[in-house]
Amino acid sequence: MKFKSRMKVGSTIFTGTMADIVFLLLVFFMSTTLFKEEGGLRVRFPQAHPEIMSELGKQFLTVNVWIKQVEPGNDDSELVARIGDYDMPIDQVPEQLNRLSNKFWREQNKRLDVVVLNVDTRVPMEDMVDLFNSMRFEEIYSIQFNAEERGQF
Amino acid sequence: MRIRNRPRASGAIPDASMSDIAFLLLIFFLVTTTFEVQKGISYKLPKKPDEQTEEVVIDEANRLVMTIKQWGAHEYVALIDQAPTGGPLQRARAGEDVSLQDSTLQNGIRTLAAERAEAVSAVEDRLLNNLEVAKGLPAGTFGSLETAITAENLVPMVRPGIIRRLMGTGTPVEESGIFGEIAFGDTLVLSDARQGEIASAVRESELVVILKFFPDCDYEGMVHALDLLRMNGVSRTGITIQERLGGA
Repeated sequence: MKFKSRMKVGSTIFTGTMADIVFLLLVFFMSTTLFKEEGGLRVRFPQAHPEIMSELGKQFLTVNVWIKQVEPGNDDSELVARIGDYDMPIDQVPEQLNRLSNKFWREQNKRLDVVVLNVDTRVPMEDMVDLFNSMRFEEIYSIQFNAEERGQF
Repeated sequence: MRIRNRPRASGAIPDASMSDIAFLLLIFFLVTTTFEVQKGISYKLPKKPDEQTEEVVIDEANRLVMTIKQWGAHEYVALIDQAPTGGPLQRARAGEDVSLQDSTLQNGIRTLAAERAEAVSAVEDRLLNNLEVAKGLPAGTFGSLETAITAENLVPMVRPGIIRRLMGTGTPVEESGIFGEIAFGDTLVLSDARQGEIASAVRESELVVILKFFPDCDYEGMVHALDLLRMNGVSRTGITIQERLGGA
């Protein structure tokens, strides 16, 4: 009598193509990942101690405002501000922020939490204090002055 | 005669370690990649003046007024216009320009701020309020901080602030029945097992510093001045412009 041998079931997982899969994934993500370019103006940041600086978590709804002089260092030079991809004179910034705040409320039911100011070090304080006063009248109170970290003390 | 076989050269490249290399590369980039985080000094502007806004008068004993002007590139000096009577800055520096880096100015501000640290009970009240907001509970839900800690099974702790490190053993501290020793600048924290840190409050100073900038002073001067004040325990600051005197 002839005995048939039972079919054996292999217990190993074939891993020969693993390298190909990993490389394919690497190449896929390398070619498809897009880093959103910061659409800001080229500014020189002031420095501050890291101990007193805070970073804003993702839970905050923020708007970045970039401000610099057209001719940096020239006190008579006009100031230009940028919000998103739009350039505007500095005196239009509070009104635009107010519009954005209303838009966030209408579309996402969220309030604008913080306005992040990325201001060139050479901008005169006279213009900045004017901006602060106008922001108050648009009921925008919470701001953050972005700065670079000074060396540890 | 015996003919030997020539060793045959294999045309295959060994690729067994390829997956190891790829995984190592993946893990390396996963671990080392950092995304730039924007950091800065947070600031609250005062509410706009209207019928409902109360005018707050700052007690002279808690008021320090400084005029800031530019003194060359990246150099800023302060003129103390008004300092609390009998305080260190009034005695040592009134009426003269001093660099913002001057140690006497910095120590004087720190001492003034330390002397005017708010009462621990006020910080505890604010912490209780922060807890109720964090939990979404109406104000006054808990009768006291002790009740809240027991009811919610919370862990109280103190996170020592920068002032404690700067002043060392000279730091003025007060005792709290719940938290122990608290210096000004320290943070009171409540946490629970589920959510971690759920509420915190900093022990601030009652000292208010008004910064009056010369109109042509650079924005950098403001950040320098705020940096100096925050480092020395002052969180209540006003920013304004020095009126131009005479001329068109």
